[in-house]
Order: sequence, then structure tokens, then C-alpha cells
Amino acid sequence: MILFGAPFLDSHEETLMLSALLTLLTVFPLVAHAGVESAMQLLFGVKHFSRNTIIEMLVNNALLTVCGAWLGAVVIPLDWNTPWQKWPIPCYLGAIGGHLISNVLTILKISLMSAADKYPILNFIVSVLNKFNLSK
Amino acid sequence: MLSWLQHRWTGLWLLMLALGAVTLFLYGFFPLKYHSGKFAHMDDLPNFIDGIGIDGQEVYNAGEHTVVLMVIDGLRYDFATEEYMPFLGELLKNKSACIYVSVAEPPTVTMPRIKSPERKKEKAQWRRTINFWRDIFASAMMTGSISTFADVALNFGAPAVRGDSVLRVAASRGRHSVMYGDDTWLRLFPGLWAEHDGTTSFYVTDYTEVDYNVTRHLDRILSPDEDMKPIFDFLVLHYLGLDHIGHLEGARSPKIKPKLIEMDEVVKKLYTAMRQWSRTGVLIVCGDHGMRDAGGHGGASPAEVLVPIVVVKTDDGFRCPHPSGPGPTVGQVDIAPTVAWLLRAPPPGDSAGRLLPALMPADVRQHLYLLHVLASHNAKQGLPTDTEFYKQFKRAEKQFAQFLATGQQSAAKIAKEFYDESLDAMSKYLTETTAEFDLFAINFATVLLYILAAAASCTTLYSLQTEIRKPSITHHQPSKVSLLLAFAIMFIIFSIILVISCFITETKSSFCSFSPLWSIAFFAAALVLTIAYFVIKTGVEKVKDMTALKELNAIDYLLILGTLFHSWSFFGTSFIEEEHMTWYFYWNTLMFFVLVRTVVVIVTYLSKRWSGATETQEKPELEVRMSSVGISILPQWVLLIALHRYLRTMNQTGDRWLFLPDTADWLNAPENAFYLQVHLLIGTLVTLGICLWNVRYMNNYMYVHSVLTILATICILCYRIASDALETPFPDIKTWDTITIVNLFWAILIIQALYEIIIYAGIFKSCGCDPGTKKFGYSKPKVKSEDYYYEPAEEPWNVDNVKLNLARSLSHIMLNDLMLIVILLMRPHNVIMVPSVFVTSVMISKCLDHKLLDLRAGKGKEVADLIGQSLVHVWIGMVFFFYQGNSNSLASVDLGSGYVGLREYSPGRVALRMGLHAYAGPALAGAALYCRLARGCDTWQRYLQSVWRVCNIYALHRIYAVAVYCVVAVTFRHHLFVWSVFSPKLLYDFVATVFTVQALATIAQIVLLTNLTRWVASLRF
Repeated sequence: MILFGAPFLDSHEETLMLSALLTLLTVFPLVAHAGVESAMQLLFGVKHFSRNTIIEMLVNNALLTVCGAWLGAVVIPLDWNTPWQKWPIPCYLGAIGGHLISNVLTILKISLMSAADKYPILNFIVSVLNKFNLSK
Repeated sequence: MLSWLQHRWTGLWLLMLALGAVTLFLYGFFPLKYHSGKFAHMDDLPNFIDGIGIDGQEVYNAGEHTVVLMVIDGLRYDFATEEYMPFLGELLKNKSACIYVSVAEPPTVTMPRIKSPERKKEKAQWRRTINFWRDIFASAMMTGSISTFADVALNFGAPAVRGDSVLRVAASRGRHSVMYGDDTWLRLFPGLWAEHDGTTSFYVTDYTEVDYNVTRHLDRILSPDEDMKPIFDFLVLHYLGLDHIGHLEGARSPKIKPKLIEMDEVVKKLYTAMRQWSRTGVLIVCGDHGMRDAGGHGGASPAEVLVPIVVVKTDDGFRCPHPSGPGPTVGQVDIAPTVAWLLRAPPPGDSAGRLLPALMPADVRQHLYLLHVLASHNAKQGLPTDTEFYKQFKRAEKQFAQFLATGQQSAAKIAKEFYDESLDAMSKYLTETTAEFDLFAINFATVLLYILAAAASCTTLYSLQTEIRKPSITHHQPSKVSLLLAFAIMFIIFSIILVISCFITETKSSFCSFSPLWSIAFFAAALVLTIAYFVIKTGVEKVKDMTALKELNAIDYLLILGTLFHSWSFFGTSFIEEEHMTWYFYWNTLMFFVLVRTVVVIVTYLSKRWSGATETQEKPELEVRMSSVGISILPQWVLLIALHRYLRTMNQTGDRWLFLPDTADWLNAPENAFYLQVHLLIGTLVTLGICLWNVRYMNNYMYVHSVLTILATICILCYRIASDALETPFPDIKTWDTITIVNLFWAILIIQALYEIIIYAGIFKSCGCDPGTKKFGYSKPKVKSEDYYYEPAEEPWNVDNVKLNLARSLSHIMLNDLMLIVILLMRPHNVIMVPSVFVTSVMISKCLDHKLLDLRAGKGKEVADLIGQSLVHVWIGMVFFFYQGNSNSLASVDLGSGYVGLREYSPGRVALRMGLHAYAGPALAGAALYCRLARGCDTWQRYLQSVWRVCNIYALHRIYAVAVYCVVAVTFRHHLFVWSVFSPKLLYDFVATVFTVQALATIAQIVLLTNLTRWVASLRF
């Protein structure tokens, strides 16, 4: 985290909290579900999750969380001078938001898949979503 | 027109055309006014009117006057009434004072009401802009000519008015000028005041203290000496309080009224004091701009632009000649000649105003003479002679002469009318031509830039095709004549379109003035349009094969999209001020991506290697992929990230966090001098190491290059010692002259470059081969010595090979020299940047390799590699540009680096040094890229091809960035920050374009030089 630009002489606590949050949201569920080694392999895309929806969900969660935290940093330089623009807050929000979106997407996908059994038209949307996930 | 598309330097030419377009844009955006800089003198007064003699000095003399100019900032027209200022209203009513309406200067920037005065940033911006306002106002008042915001904004670091002003003419005539109030006046006219006390408007929340600071001097300065004469001739009072209230609370604030009463008291005090003097006093009360009811100013509504000018004369016979009411309209520039005349000084050189009618003398002869002086003064300022007002002026002169000769009152009357009419038209003409943006030129330049960007993207896409098919000679090949004809027709069509658009928009732009000089530019623009049209047309027809673009991987997409988006991010002002944040963010993202990718590759590699036998068939492929980097790439990469993290702390830049302490501050503190020197030494020595490493690619015959490089480095170290940046065990060196050292340094570099070329030319000779028919040559002495034993003539050395070697070594010499020069120019703590650029470039080139990152091999890898490499080098350049402490504000330009090794100021060399210092990052990254190109190619043809592609990409990137930014600048031309944020960025972009042109031209030169050397060598035999 510090390597990527967090201030490292002051505000240790905030940075630590952000790291903890990110770990909690990304690695922890994966490790709990799949074990340390395969979790690492999954995260770095070495091993492919084969039709395992839960692991897929967890991996997507992790990726989107990091992306969210990353994108959250965009607003820091803006000059709106609101109190929530202080250093780690946008990243917290981004991380949580990313996590949320990822979960929503997964649920949407699952519900669509089950719905697609009834209405084949929806298969198109499912495939689009699948592609979206794979390209990540 | 296919040949254009295929031509190697089309990108460069297009970039040059774009530079022209940007210049046009800048011309339109910064309506720089031509100041003649002439100093007026009493002898300039005309002594002959149409052949009839008159004693100019005697007629001009106004008698002794003392002038008090009281400026109340933000005094709007309806404030100068009995309701708000009772005493002033009383004076106006009994006709001892005259009121005029004046229109404030063209409002190009809005100064909004300040919503939260505590906010540091807003306060700073506001202060900067309000200073612009005051500068313009004060210089309009005193020089009598309108300067634009651009004049002031671009007046780097030297805000003083260089031209003529009332104060200068008054001082030259021995008058005493005194100033109390806003310090703008002191900054603009330094050294011209006999006495002064400036206040700043730094605290906008303060509206009592600023005015008290002015008023407290009045009692003393107003009391006359024993002859009842005042102790000064010209007094300027500038009250800021009213404007501050206006900015804080608006014109309906309850604080306005007491403030105006306070001002009224001051007027009363001045008036009563002046009545007691033995000399006639003239009091001029005016505002510089009005204010909106809601607060703020800068718009074009009457409340903002209409300001009163009240003239009071303490002469008993003085009666205001105008009927009571709003009074006639005058300009703010009229103050200058009026005051000059009252002080018995000539009108200042650039003044374009008239005299205030109320003060005009009753004597007909003097009256006419004054009108004549002003009219002829205006006519001298480059007015066209074929206009109606000029003819009117000539007619008036004839009538005046007749009056002087015969004394006919009717002639005087006619002359007066004619003079008035022509003066009216003249000052209108003079103000109108200079005031506004040249919108036609701006828009046209933007359109032109877009078309050029399209053309450049066509060439780039064309050059990026994997295989450029040879232009097949088909039956449909049009002849040269028809091509020429088509060209001519298109040219004519574009000219006609341009002319029509000129007339349709009815623009006053000088671009459409069809004067000889401008029509050249006009037709050049039409020519550019034609060329761009043909390039685009051919490009659209020929670009079909886009398979290469399919090979792009995620990182390439990140690079491309990031670059594209970056230009658009400028629509937010913060993103301009904090542009470094964008780049740091991108750079982090890129490094993170690469890190993840490398980890993936290495983990795959390791796991496959350990898991063993089942996947043996994949192993060789993996081995190949890994062989170029090895596992050690991972820790290296992490170290690189850490290095960048460290460099980022080196200089705080931007606007908002500029005040935070950074590593550079820490290093420059005296107690940490040791660490600073360590930095300096490490930076220099590592660069030396890199240079020596690069020497491998040169013709290091007898180690001459190594020796020269080491000598140059020693020069640098000596320079550092001599300029006290480095401690030394040899105290002698401290006494050496820095300038000699730097000259020696230049000499060494030049010798190095020349030596290389001569060696190449010479080797051709020493081979003793027959040129032209035979193929020969080598680059490395080792090869040569081997060759010596064999039969040299039989070795089929290729001319192309030699050329490639020469180009390679020239590029490396360029890189080495550039690094050494930059080290010489850099601040001590920044020296470490130079090797970092090189290391970063090498590392990232390794890691971005498609062979390493992609799973499957493809055909277009080479092209995709090139795109990735060139864009990443652009990024490296920008990142280091900001690491070094630059930003998009003119304040961060390091002026000190301009004077390294120079004894006196010479504009060209200083500008060159400063530019190179500021753009060191991009320049080094570019040079490193071209070295890499030369290193990586195995044949001359491929080298040329890749240079061609990279040049196109660079040109496209530059044109694209500038074009987008031009749109941004046009959109925000009325924004509050336009002069403090947008314009400097525009200038930075302009300089960047110039430097890109220069860089690409250097590459072109290298290729040219290579060919030239070969030619020279072949000539020798």
C-alpha cells in the first residue's frame, strides 16, 4: 500500500485500517473457502475456477473491491474541499462500493441464469455478463 | 498522394503544421497589444499646423495644477449620488463638480462573489485575478492605453510597465507624485514615486484597515507649506474597502452605506484642504469597475461596467459645462492625457484617450491646439490613413490653420467639430482592435488542429499495418498531372470556403484582413487544409489491415485509453492544477498491472517447472519467455516501485499540497547537506556508469569515448564544487571559474560527436574498398582487427549494416550527452532523477515485452510492442516531469537553470537551457526510447520502419493533446481561472509541442547525418 503512494510517515492508523479492510474483503473469504495456496493461484488467475459459482463470486468480489478502492482515489485531487476527501476515505468507500456492486452482479447473474431456464431470451444477457467477468 | 502517407517524416511535417496552427491559436487567445514603448517628450508637441507656425509649448501650458486622483475600488455609478455620498452630491448639484460615465475595460474574466473567504485556494486564486484587474486598470489609467489580461498575465515576474506613463512624463518634468493605497501602483510603476505607502488586498475579509492605512496619511500630506503651496503635484489614493465588501456581501450589504459615507468624508477633507491652497487643485474621483447586486464583478451588465468619474476643480470660476444628469460618456484612458496635461507634461507615448471636456480651457486657440495634439498623437500610432476619421482629422487641421491665419470664429467652430468627430472614431478604433479574443482565429485554429489530428491518426494507423504492401502498379495509377490538378482544385475550393466563412461571420479578425502578411498565413492555412484532406483521404482508402491492433493486451489498452482520457480530464480545473496526480495515478496503475502480470508469469513458470513431466511440451516455450528476464525481475520490479515512491516525495508540486514539506526541502536544509551531497554524487556517478555502459554501442576505438565521458563527468563535478554544491578535499577547485568549466564541458561533448562521425567516415577510407559497388565497413575495432587478418574486401559487410551501427551510436551519443547536460543543469537534489529515467525505461521495456506477458504468440507483436513502448515512454517522461517539481503554473519554472555557465543574459541560450531543464524528463525518456529502437533492430530497413512508426505515434499524441486542450481553453475562456490556470497550461503545451518538433527533428537529423556520412565516405574514394 505504501509503495503505491500512501503517506508513510503519518496517519499509520488510517492506512492500516484500509489494508485491513481490503484484506477482509478480498483475501479472507477466499482463503476461508479454498485454502491459502489455491486462493493465491485463483487471485492471480493461474488456476481457473471451473463452474464453481461461489469461488467465482469471491474472486470477482476481490477484483472489483481492489478496482473500487483504486477508482476511489480519483476524487482526491478534486477541489470540492469536502471533508470526506481526506486521504483514505474515498478508498474505503470505493472498496465497499466495489464489493457491493460485485455482489449485486453475482446475484443478478444467478437469478438471471435461473430465469433463463424459463425464458431463453435472457441467455443473451447471461452470456454478456459472463464475458464481462472473464475479461476482468 | 500515397507517397505522402508512406513518407517517413509525414508525422513530423504534420506536427510542424500543427505548431503553426497552435501559434495561430495563441495569437487569437492572447490579444497581445503592440506597445511602441516610445517615451513622450515636450519637443514632440507640434509647432506647425498645416504649415502655420505656433509655439506649441506655450499654448500647451495649462498653468500650475495639483491633481488628486482618488480611486475607490468598486465604486459603481449609482453610488456617486446624493443618497450615498451627500457631500459629493452637493458638489454635483451646485455645478462645482462634473460627473461622467465611463465604461470599464472589456470584461474577459468574471470575478465571482467569494463564497467562503477562509478557503485558502479560492483566496489565492481570487487574489491573483484581482491583481490582474488592478494591474490593467492602473496601467490603463496611467499609460492611457488599454492592455489586455494577457499582457499582464504573460509579463513573467516583471510586472512593471515598461512603456510610457503619466508618472514617467511627470517625473521627467520634475513633478512629485505620491501614492497611498493598493500596492499594484507601486509594482507597476516602481521608482516613480516621491513618497508611497502601499497596502495589499491580501485579506479580503478586512475592509477597515486597508482604508485606514490610506486615510491616516492625509492630514500630513494635505497641509501646505509656508507659501500655501501643496507639497506634491500628483497624489493617488486607492481605497480597497468598498470592493472587499462587495466581494464578501454584495452591493446590498448594510456595510456599503457607512463605507460610502466614510469615502464622502475623505472627499470633503480633500476638497476643503484644496480650497486653501494657493494653487488650483483638481480632484478626480473614480471607480475602476462596478459591482453586481449579488456581489462580484466582471460580467457585462451595466451595474458592473458603468463607473462614475467625478471631476472637481477648486477654481472659483469653474462651472460644470454639462447639464445636470448622468453626464456624457468618457473612457478610462482619458484620465492619462488629462492628468499629463494638467501637470504640464506631454501625453504619454501610447495614450489613446482624450481630455475630459470639463477641464478644457475656454481659450479657443488653446482648446483647438489640445485637440490637435491628441488627434495627431493618435494618428501617429499606426492608424490606417485611408479611413474616414483620418480624412476628417486632415480637414480639421486645415480649418485650424485657417483659424490661426485669419482668426475666423466659424473656422474654429468647424475645426472643433471635425476634431471631436475624428477623435471619437479614433479612440473607438484603437480600443476595439485590441480588446477581445480573436474568436475567428481561435476557432479556425482549433478546427485546423482537429483536421491535422485526423490526418496524423491516418498516417499512424497506416504505418501500424503489419505489412505494408508495395504500391502495386495497377492500371488505375493516376498521372502526375491529374494529381496536381486535383490538388489545385482542392486548394481553390478550400480557399473559397475560407473566404466565404470570413465574410459570413463578419469577423473583425486580422486573419481575415487580407493584408499582405496575413494573406500569406491565410493561403498557408488553405494549403494545410488541402494537404490534410489528401492525407486523410488516402489514409481512409488505404488503411485496411488492422490485425496488428488485435494483438494489444490489457496493458496496451490501459496505456492507450489512459492517454486518450488524460486529455479530456482537463475539463476540470483541478485536473490541470493537479495534473501530476493523474499521471501518478496512471503510473501506479500501470506498475500494479505489470506487477500482477509478472507475478502470474513467474508463478506459472515455477509451478510448471516443479510439477514437472506432464507438461514438458510447454516448457521450452516458457523457457524462451523467461530467458529474457529471469526470476530476478520480480524483486527488481518491486525495487523500481519503491524507487518511484521515493522520487515522488522528492518535490511537492501542483497547487493544493504545494506547501507540504518534501524531501527536497529536507535535503536542502543546511544540517542535511551531507545527504544532499550523497544524492548528488550517487546521481552523477550512476549516470557515468550508464554512459559507460552505453559506450558499448559506440565505436569505442582506443577507449576514446570512455575517456571523454569520464572527462565530461569530472567537469560536472568540478562545476558542482565550484558552485559550492559539493564538499571537496581539494580546495583549489573551488576557485575555478564555473564558466570555463562549462565551456570545457561543451567542447568535450562536441568533440565526442564529431569524433564519432569522423571515425565512421574514416573507417570507410581505411578499408580501402571501392565504394558504391562494394559493401564494406564495420563498427567495432575488434571486428576490424579480426578482419585485418582475413581478406577485408571479401567480407560482405553491408553498407546498411554500417549505417545502422552509425545511427545506433549516434543515438547513444545523443542520450549520453543529454544525460550529462541535464545533470549539469539540474538542481542538486534532482540529479538522481536522470539515472532513474534510464533505469525505469530499461526495466519497463523488459516487462512490457509481449513475448513475456502474452500467452500466445502472434504476428503483430512487433507493432503492438512499439505502440506500448512509445506510449509508456511518453508516460515516463510526464511522470518525471512532475517528479522534478514542475507543474502547470508559471511559478514553477526554474529560472536558475537558465544561467548555468553563462556570464551575461542572452535570451536564446537562456530559453534553451530553461526549456531543456523543464522538459528534461520527456526529453530523456524520448532519447532512451530511440536508443532502444536502434538497439533492438537488426537491419537498417527495420530501424527506419520502427522510427517511422514511433515518430508518427509521438506526433499523433502531441497533436491530439493540443487539439483537445484548445477546445478546453475555448470553452473556458470566461472562467475565473483562465489566466491563472488555463493559459499557463496552454503555454506549457505550446512549449511541449515545440520540443516534440525539435526532438523528432533531431531523430530526422540522425538519419540524415548517417546518410550524409555514408555519402561523404563514398565521396572520398
